[in-house]
Amino acid sequence: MIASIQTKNQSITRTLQDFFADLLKTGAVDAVLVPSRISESLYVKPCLITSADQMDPTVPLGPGFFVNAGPMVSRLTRTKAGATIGVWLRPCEVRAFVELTKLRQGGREEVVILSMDCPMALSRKDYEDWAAQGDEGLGDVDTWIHTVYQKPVTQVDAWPVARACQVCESPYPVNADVSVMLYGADLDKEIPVRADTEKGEKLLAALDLTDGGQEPEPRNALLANLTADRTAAFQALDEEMRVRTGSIDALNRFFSACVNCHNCRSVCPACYCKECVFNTDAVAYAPTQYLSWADKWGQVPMPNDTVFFHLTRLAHIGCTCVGCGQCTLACPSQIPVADLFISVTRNVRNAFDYVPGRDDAEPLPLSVFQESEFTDIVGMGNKEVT
Amino acid sequence: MTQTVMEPSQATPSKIPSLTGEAFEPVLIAFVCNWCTYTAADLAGTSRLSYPDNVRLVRVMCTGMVDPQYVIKAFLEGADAVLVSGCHPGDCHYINGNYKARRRILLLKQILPRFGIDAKRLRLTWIGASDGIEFAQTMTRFVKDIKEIGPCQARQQPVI
Amino acid sequence: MTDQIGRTLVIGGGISGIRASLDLAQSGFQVLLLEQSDRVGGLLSQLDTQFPTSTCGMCRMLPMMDRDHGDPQCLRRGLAHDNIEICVSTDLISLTGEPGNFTVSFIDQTDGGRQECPVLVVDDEKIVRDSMKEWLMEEGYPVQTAASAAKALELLETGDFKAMLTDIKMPGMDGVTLLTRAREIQPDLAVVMMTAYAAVDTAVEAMKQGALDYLVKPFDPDAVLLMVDRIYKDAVAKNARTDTVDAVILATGATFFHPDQGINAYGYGRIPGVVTNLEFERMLSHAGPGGMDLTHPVTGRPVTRIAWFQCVGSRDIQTGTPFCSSTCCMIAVKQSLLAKTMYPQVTEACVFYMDLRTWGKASDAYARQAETAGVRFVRARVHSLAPGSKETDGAIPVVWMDPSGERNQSLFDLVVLAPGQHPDAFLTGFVKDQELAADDWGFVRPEPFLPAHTSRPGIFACGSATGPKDIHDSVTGATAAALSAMQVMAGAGRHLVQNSEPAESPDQQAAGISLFPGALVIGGGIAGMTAALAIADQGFEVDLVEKTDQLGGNLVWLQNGIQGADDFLEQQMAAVQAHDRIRVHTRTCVAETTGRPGRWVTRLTPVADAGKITDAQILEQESGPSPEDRSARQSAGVPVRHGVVVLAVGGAEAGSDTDGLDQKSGIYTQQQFQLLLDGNDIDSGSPLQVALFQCHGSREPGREYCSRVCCPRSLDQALRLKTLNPDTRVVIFYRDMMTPGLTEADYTEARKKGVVFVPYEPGNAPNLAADDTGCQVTWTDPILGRAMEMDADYVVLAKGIRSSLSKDLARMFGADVDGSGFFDQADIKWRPVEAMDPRVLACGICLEPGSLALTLASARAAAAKAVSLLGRQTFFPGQDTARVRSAFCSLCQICIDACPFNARFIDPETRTLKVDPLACQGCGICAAACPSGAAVVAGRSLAPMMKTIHAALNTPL
Repeated sequence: MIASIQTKNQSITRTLQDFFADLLKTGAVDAVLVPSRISESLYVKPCLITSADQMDPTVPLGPGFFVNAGPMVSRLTRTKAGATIGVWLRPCEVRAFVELTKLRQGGREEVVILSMDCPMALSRKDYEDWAAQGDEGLGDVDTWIHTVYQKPVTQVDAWPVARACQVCESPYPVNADVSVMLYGADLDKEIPVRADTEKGEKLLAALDLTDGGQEPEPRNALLANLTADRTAAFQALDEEMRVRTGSIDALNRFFSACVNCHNCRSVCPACYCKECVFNTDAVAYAPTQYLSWADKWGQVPMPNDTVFFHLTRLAHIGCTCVGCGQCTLACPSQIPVADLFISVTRNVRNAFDYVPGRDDAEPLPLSVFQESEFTDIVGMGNKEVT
Repeated sequence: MTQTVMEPSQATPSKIPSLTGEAFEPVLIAFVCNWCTYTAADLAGTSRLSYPDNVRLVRVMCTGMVDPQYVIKAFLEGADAVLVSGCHPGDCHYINGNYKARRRILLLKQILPRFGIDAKRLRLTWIGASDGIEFAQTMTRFVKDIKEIGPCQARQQPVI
Repeated sequence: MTDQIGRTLVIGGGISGIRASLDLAQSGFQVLLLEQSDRVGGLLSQLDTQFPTSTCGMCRMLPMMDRDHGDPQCLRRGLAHDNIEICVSTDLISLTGEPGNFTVSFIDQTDGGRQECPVLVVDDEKIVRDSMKEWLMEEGYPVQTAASAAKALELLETGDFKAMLTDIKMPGMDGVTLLTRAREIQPDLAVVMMTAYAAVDTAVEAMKQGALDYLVKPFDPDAVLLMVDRIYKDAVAKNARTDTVDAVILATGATFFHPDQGINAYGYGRIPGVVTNLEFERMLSHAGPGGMDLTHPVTGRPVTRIAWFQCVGSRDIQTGTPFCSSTCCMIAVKQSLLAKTMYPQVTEACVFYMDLRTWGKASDAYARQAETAGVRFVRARVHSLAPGSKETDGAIPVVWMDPSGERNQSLFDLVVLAPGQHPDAFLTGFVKDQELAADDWGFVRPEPFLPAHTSRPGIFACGSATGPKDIHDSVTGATAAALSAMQVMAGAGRHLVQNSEPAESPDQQAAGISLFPGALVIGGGIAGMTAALAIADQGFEVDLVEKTDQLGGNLVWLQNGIQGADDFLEQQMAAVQAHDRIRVHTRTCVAETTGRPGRWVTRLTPVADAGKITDAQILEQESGPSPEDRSARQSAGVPVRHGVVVLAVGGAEAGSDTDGLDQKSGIYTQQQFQLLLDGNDIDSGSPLQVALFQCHGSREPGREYCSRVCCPRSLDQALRLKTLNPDTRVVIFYRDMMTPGLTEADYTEARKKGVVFVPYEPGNAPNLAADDTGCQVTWTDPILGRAMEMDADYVVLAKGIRSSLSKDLARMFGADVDGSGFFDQADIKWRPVEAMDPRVLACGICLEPGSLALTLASARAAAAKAVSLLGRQTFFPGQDTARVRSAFCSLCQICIDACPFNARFIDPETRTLKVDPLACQGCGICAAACPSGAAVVAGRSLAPMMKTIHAALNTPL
């Protein structure tokens, strides 16, 4: 079912804010989770809002993306809340949440997932510059919106979008209850919304939104172009990463600025562990062991286990990385962590024919097996999987 | 034939042999399952089937318990190659641990070669309890292959 | 005496002996295990893989609980358990006594064993000397030979012999004179005279002069060995160790026919490339002589064409083995399949057979798998073999006739013979010494309805000692034998070893699990009743649930066809009803169960309409439910708390409600026809025409298994028809007559009585055309190639057995059903009566189709497992049981997904992840799956492994 929301005052932001307010007013949901400015600063974070009059600071669409809300939804659904929550998520946030539900870190029962064609994001520094251009401490959101949905772009004005977004091949909603279709839409007039599930249909019905809208005519072609561009961009990134990290020495250099702060892990929506194994006794070495390493190579950098940490994370989230790019945004040393992770994990999941977020019922690749599969990796033969 | 079998928690750090000025002698870590491949190794030993002593056996209960971290750590600490070897399909004492191991090895084979660790350095084999000859042959061939490929970079320089 | 720990002697360390020993050991009894050879494992240590899985998995028979008491290692490396004293290379010298008090004496061969019993063989015929020497040396005796009495005396002067076997009639000095002279030299020398039948008088005379005994030529090797064994045992008795035990389990297995004995039509030992299946097994093995290659044992060339010949020294009256060895067909299927799939070089794998005996629930599908892989199955018995020649490039030409009489020839590099099994010398001697009842061929004959009992109280038997068996039946039988031994030990008031140490720490205590002390047995047929009685007799509470009005199940209709079954059934029913530890719930079924495995709380509910359940209940019982029944029924609403569950819901004749039946025309199912026979409702005053139609709807897609009971039953029916009127014409249409083991005798008998056997293939089954007057059967005779017909008075369709076990019921207890609808065993060979969770057991025909004897064996085996668990009651984590570090645990449950044993669960009260210490096997798969190090297995998790890797890499080369 596709409905359309009439755009108010030519403001997409205002229209969506009213849409969320209506969800609360009609009782369709008891709360909404929407990115909102914190204390009128330029930074936005997902906020859980129960009051319809708290919509003004929300920024439903914009280049600010400093927290992947997937784990936030998981926090809201880990146990029964006794309330229905509408969550407004970017596609990569939906993917993250879907993966987290497979890991029993949350459930869909009490949430209605509203997702949208992705407005993309800026790196932290670019975002700050972009925001400084606008009024009220925030950049020109309307221009941003009108730019990113009309044609495939990799930058808006002077600001290139984050590399993770440039290579994201699925910037449209998958697995949501309600999908807001913005690519190619006549945004001054209307915003087409599609109910993808029964839950989504109920939600739209509660707002008296009825069938009658349609998918923006150029959307499909636009998405096809976009995807083609991004596939090419991914290939370039992949190639670049293979060169930049193609040896142990190169990998050492890539991570040479890493200070083992593990911020990348903290913000990673796929890293769901309550306690990271790198905070446990598993990597607590005796002084003699450090000395024996130093002896072995003549020196040992400290803290060590930097590459061990990143390779372990690659192994742990190899199939579930959603490519949101938060790790790069969070790195204090400006290491393009996401570039490496996106490049490597894409290959990993392809090997298992797995796509994170594609399907709730799709089991995690390392939790299942078939008796007759991947037989060519067994043995001493020359068939190599690379 | 003497076997060096490392049991977990049996740790005696000592200096490694000098790398300079000698013919390349690779160090291989073999994670062998207690039921099948370890029995085959034992059989090879008692049958006086020789295989190079470059191989360090680490006995695990099941290949299914080989955490990818073991393999990563082994490479980062300078192993020239890693073998994971367990029971033939259907033979696993723990029913299906070997199938689970196969997926983990596939995972690692997608990751490690990206960083210059040749895919040939990581092997998964099924060597049954009575396959003493196969065990010795596999070890011999593996060591030979690795000698041809040369030392792993992590052996020559520390990984941060 | 009664305060002692129960102890059982197990004789024989093959699979059956190991299984019985382990069952007793893990139940807390002590075991003395004697094995003649130098290692345990028996035949199995020579087989790398087994049918129908093409895998090994032998280690899965190791105990799942109290693993700290055993040694977690491949059984090829050995067996160890704190409660089992294993004596290999050991000879049994004597066994006397009664249940609860047997005295056994035995000797270590390396310590005054057979090496200490040198034998002198005196005969002027070289062939006699050589073969005697070979037989005796094979058994470990040092042997010297002499061609004349003079030479013998020379040897006696210089050497110390314990025994002399001498011919009587020799050129020069005769045997009797030699006897006198020899005893002058060595007065304690045991002398055995060897003589032709004609000269027995002389031999008897010699005994008066001091000969111990005599042997009549031509010799049976076993007789020679028995004789020498007797001398040996007398000679070493004074050095033997003596011990006392409460019960004895005989698990000595069988030996193989030597294909070079007798006529040796296949040239074994003469024609290069003719090998036995056991020799081929070694060739197939990577550890065998060819290493990784499959090469000809003589020429060393790659083997590409292989033939298997079945029934060599079995199903063969000429070799005195009119029985089937039960396993060889499946061994041939396995070997041919492996050869074809492991070695691409093998272009021709061809099995020559008489009946391909794929009985057992997974065997037929396995044979189809071989067929799909390209193995050729040819129904033919090859007459004889000639060696290869230049023309054949050394290959062996195999010539056979197809049913139409056409001559075929193919060349093979190897011909693999399937030598039959027969009782070995030890068994023959033991049966004789202990005066055990045995069948005509020397196998121990079990007591009626007690498959593990011999005729001597306290002495039990399992494995091939009671007739040729496969692993599956041996393992089941061994556990049943263990139960019998447990019953003796309990009867003698014996104690258990304190297996379970009190938990050391409060943590361990908290992680323990206490099973509810009772058993729930579902199904009141003979399997359920047998299991219930056995469990209750050992002192545990049992709830027995039966959905119909009455106990007895299929035995109610079967009882008249099996001798003594009516009395047996009546006794069992009375015993169950009278037992004060058994609560019988008839007209009841299981509604739901809650709680953890081992602490089940199961709610029972009355069956609404028990009258219309299955055709199995067509015999109405006259009497209504007893008052006890009624009270039991009223208790149906009360939940049953139980620690184990035994699924014994049975099964019924398959397809009896479907196609092809038309009693008006005389078309009956086998069961329906049995009731006619039993009710004397067949008028055979004038000769009848009867067609018995085997595998009707069986062994084909939909029911891809052999039900194992129909062929023996059809033979029985055929023989009864022939007894009623010898002129009755009985034709059995069959695909393969499945009469494994000793049931082959009926097949032979039926042929003798003139029953006609017509083989058919699935594509050309006989056609039935029914009308009001009867049924016309038409078929093409495979030999004449001509259309045949028969106006049958009766057509009997053998449709086989289907299981009554529902998926829902199995899954309620965490078990499942297999593709054919039977109970899904943890391992078809090694854990045949258990689900993956050892607390869920099954027996009878919901487990697998089979005879009453098999049902009783599986029921007693299931009871043994139940008793073993209930007797222990509380289980604490062992050293290698997985633990959970809850502080690190995100409850993602991927460890639950990863655990093969369903040992991990979330405790709903604490919302923490816990480990069931009984189910956990310490594999560490959970630890590898857990990304945060919350799942740990002692000594095998990340931190110690990091140290190990470090140490391994930093140890100098």
